Amino acid sequence: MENLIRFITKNSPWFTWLFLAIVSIVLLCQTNPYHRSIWFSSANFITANVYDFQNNVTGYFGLRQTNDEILERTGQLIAENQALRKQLQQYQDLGHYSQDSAEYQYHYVIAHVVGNTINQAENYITLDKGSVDGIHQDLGVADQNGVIGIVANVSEHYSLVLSVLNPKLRLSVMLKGTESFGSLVWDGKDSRYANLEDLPRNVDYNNGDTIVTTGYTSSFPKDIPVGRVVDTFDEGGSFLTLQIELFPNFNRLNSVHVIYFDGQAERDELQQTVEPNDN
Amino acid sequence: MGILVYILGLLLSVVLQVLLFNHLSLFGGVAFIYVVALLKCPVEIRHVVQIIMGFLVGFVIDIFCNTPGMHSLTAVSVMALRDIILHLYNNDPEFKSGTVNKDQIGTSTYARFSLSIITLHSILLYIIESFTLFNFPVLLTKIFISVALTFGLCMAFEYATSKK
Repeated sequence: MENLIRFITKNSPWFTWLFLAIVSIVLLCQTNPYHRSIWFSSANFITANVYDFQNNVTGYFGLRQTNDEILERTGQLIAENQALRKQLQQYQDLGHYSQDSAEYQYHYVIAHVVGNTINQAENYITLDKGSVDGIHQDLGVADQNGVIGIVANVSEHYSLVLSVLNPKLRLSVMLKGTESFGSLVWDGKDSRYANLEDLPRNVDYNNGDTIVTTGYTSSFPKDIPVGRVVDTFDEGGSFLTLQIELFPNFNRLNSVHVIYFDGQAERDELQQTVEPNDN
Repeated sequence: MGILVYILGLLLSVVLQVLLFNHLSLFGGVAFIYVVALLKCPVEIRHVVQIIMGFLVGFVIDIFCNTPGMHSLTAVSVMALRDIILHLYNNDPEFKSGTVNKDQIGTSTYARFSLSIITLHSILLYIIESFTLFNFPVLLTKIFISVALTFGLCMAFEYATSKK
């Protein structure tokens, strides 16, 4: 303490100068708008850069939650979209507004991918939601980009999903905007591409056209995106095979929707009375 | 007695500055007579007191010029450094009291000393005024003109009041 006091008294001119200089600067910046604006803008420049750096670091910590929130919002929007379409359809068909058309058909559960393969002959995806969360067999699974697969098996807390990258899965898909449909099958070669088979030859299409679900299977509602056309394989015959680039990145699956909608069980039962359950 | 005279002289310089010299500007440069008065501060006054005096003088000028903080910052910095610069140029151990003037320490020493202080003051003042260096030629012109005018004033005063 003594040393400190001695230090201060020895250098008292400098401390006096420092104190009075600070007083002057405060006076300067507080009262003079020009100086104040320069002070604040340069201070802002420094502080903004520091905060920017901090944000870049901490921004990553909340990504999982952000992703979930995005998926939640996407789910709501798809549900609204479905309801509005149905409403529009009824309006167009009947020519008047129908009372009970405003129910949401599309329900979803957000699940996280805990297991995934893409390089085996038959690939499966494991999710962290199971029967206690309302998931059962044959529900469709999609993420914000497109279709991922169909639930194959369910335990209490986990589900096994038959990935699109699995030749056992044949998904009924169509060219968006048309009624022409075919089957989507994976050929086992590249995890980014699958084939659309059984497309009639007379269909008009271009590279880049979007492929969506038909809604004919009870797993997915109509118009869920699947991929886009990139190439054609013509082997003769009356049907074409198209190469589809899949929208989801199967390398980096994170959070997904498990979809179920009203009337799904009913449709399933009805279909099973005339044909085996063949997706 | 000497200190009292000095303080009166300081007050007079402040009055002259705000009433007369602030309005005589040449290309934006102004003659600062209060700086001349400050650099003639008697050396026997304690450094801390010198600094406080500098702040007060600057503060009063600021009040009149409506530039709060500007002149007080430069004046206080000038007074803080004056002591060091004086000892830099003047190694005469006998110069212990009295105001700083050319008779005591020699003309050339005094000239160098006053030029240093005046230049320092002008640079500091105009940089604070603009707070940036964006218009460099204008800044340099102001500094140069101010230094020239103030230094001329300083030497003129010196010769006018010399006892020889």
